[in-house]
Amino acid sequence: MTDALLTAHGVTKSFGATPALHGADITVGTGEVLAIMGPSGSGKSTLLHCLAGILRPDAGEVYFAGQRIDQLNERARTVLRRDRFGFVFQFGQLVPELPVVENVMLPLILAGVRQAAARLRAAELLDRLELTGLDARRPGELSGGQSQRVAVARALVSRPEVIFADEPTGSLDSLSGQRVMDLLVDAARDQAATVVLVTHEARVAACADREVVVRDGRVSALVGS
Amino acid sequence: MTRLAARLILGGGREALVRLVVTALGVALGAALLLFAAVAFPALHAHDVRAGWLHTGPHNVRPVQDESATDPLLFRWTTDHFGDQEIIRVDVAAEGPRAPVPPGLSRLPGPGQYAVSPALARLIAATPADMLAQRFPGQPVETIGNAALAGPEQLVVVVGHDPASMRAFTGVDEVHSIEGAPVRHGYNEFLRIMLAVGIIGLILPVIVFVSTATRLAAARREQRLAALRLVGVTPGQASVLAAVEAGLAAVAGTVLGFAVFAAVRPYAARIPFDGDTFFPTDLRLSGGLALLVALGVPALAIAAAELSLRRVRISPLGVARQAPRPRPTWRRLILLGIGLAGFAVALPVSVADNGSQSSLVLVSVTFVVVIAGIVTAGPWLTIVVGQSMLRLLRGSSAMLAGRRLQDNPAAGFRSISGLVLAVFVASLICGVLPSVMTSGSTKSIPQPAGTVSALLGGRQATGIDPATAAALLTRLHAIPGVTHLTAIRRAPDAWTVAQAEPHEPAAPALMTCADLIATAVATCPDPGSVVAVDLHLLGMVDNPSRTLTRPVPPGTLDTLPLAGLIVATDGHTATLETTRTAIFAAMGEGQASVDTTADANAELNHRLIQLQRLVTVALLLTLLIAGCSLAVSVAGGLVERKRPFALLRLAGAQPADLRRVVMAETTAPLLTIALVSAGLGLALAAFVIRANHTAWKPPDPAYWSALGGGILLALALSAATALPLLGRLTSLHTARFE
Repeated sequence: MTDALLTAHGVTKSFGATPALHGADITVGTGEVLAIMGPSGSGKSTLLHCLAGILRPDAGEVYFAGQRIDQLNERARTVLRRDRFGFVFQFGQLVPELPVVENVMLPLILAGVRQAAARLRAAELLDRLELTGLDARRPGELSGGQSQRVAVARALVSRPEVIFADEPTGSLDSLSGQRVMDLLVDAARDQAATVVLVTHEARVAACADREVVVRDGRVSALVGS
Repeated sequence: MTRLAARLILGGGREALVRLVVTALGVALGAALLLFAAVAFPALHAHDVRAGWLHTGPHNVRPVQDESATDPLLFRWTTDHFGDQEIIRVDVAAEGPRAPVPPGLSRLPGPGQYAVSPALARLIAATPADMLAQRFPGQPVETIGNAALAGPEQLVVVVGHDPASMRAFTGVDEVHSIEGAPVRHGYNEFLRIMLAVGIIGLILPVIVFVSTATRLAAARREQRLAALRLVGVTPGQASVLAAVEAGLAAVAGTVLGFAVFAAVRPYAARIPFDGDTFFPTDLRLSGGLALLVALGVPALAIAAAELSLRRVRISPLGVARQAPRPRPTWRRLILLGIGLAGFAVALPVSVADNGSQSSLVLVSVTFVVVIAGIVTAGPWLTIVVGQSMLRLLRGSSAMLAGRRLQDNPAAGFRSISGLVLAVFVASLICGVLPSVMTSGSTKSIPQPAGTVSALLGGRQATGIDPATAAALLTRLHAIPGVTHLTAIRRAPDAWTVAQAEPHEPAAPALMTCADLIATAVATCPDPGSVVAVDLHLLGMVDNPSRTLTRPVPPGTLDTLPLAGLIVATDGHTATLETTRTAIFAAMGEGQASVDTTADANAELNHRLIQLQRLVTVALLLTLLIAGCSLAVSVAGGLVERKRPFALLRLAGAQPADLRRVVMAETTAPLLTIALVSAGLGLALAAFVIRANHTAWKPPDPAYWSALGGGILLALALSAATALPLLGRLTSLHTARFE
């Protein structure tokens, strides 16, 4: 594994009386594609959300590029997510009111990039992800595979250091899912981005450099290296 | 952020635009109603200000003229009627060139001249002279200006006289200035308190409606903002986005509300809320009020939107991970208890204080606490309703509805809160009014309809000489439609009667027993005899004839002055007004007081009847707004729960089952909590009445029908909106995409 970019130590998280993570430990290297696997309810999505600064752990520590991020306030974590992370979820992450191109431009616009430059970069990614000609469509007018590719384009648009993907192919057929994964991993590698991928599908996990398994809130097994 | 928000709204396609338009329309309706509520009391006050001059007297509260620099003016104000319309008649006589001139006139009409309001001028022109114009001696010389008129339809005449003849009139004041102070309300302290309560009661459902309209499709907005939070929108930026989105719709709605207000204002001015219509300028907004509504409505909408987004700010995962809401417990009743206890203390204080400003504020504050208590207790009551449904009812619909009410009682109650508050306030006011009406009114005159009564020779009824009387009686007999004439004669002062009460006049009026029986007011044993009556109490029920101390032969009556008349007619307006005009014309110079049965009965409860009309209009309006709130809220709730409903449909639920779920989760809490609210309102009404040491009377049947009808109308409105929408949302074609 290369230098650690993202590290979690003893992360614990509960939702009310329901425990999700019990002292999970994990390290992700720079440029690595890591698959987090596990059965439903094992806590793998919660672990991803803690690593991405979406959720604050109840206990434990999370570091990104040497900086402890679990103690940052909400605003700082939001800026971190906007400027240095990208996200691809199973569904629901696109803004239905905005056309495809503006959905992709969104992180750049929020970061203060000029409209013209943002549009150019978005168009470039749309081409790359085989979405040419769809830029004026709204998310409701896309197929599942197209929606996920738009989400991947948006995740990549601000050249993030880490892409967090939570079941990115969960709602797709195997062929579309494979295509999305190939595009995601290729583009990430081109940008030297790290990918943290949550999935329960071995086929999807096979795209990763390394796999970990989360069971009962703990990172209980490592597969590969 | 503002640009992005505008892009999200305007670029969001048809659905976003429809949502914007519906929200804006809802806000517009609310804003327009608030504007009318805001101008209502200044407009009523304008009536009082312009009617102030009629109360001119020797000692004016706020003299318009410098009394040391004017000549005396003889002034008398009386009321007359034409049909069911009141005519205000002011007789004046200047005793010098510097006599004060009433508002709306350029100069005082001289002897043989009169000035009329535009409405009376039109009426005179459209009516035969012997029915109206002949009541006013002389020629019209001027049209009275708006400054002297309560409203454009008010009938006013100012009749000029020479001072010598006017001094012979009764009830004449010598004044040195015109009164400039507004009319003081005759409403007692209870009605003022109820008025304050009514305003709060009208405004609250409007506020609920504006909030409901703003929260329309809040779940959709939450999801959108959650998606934006994921890509890096900070909590502050999300808040700005929500504020801009809600604010844009609210600003558009408020602008539209002002436009609706301006468009409807001329028509609203024609509504005689207190008996008189308004000049459109009376409904003019002051800058402060306009600013308050212009800023307040968008602020309210933005606050409602921000409130609905609390959970989105917590996590970019949005609605997927909501913090569990604390379950409402019986402790929710505490605030209501505090409010009721405060009201119980504040009201008697206010009554003892004659409804002073500070005590009214105290009552209003405690009343607001009671209302806040109902709103706080509502979700707990909703849970109780849900539990009862699960315990008592069988079937999947009751189970789903009951579980939903238990799971999200706040949302369940929010839909019906406007209606529940409207029911509470309406019950309180309608529970108070019957008792106030009864205690404030006098017995109605029992004379048959179509009777004209007249006192001749001024209010003291000194009478007219027998020769003039004979001519008048002949003229009246000749009027088609007059069926019977009863002449009442003035007995000489030397004649006395056996007095039943010390205050009864010693010199009575006399009439034949047969005539007295014909009036149907009282009776006497010997139709052939002459009886003594108290002329001023002739209209009252318990006015037995008195026994004269000396017998009077019936033939003697024609030689005595004619002091009063009771004219029975066929009741047609033409007959009544011709009779009235003939009496006025015969008497000249306003020396008669003539009333029909309808005039007297109308005057008895005039103000309270107007108040009841005001309350009825407010009640209907409030229920209508609350019904709209319910419909919007139920429809919005359905859109937010589109997915679970669609999935239920896919899982095999029949459309009828889903319809029953939607109606059950609205109807059950609505009927139950509305019943509790009505009970609470009536209990408070009984308390209010007892605090006034008056016996409480339950509301009349009109209240129950208005209440039941209003709730049913609201339910029908929500069913008409929600059920077709439910059908569309859960059609198999739509559902399969969920």
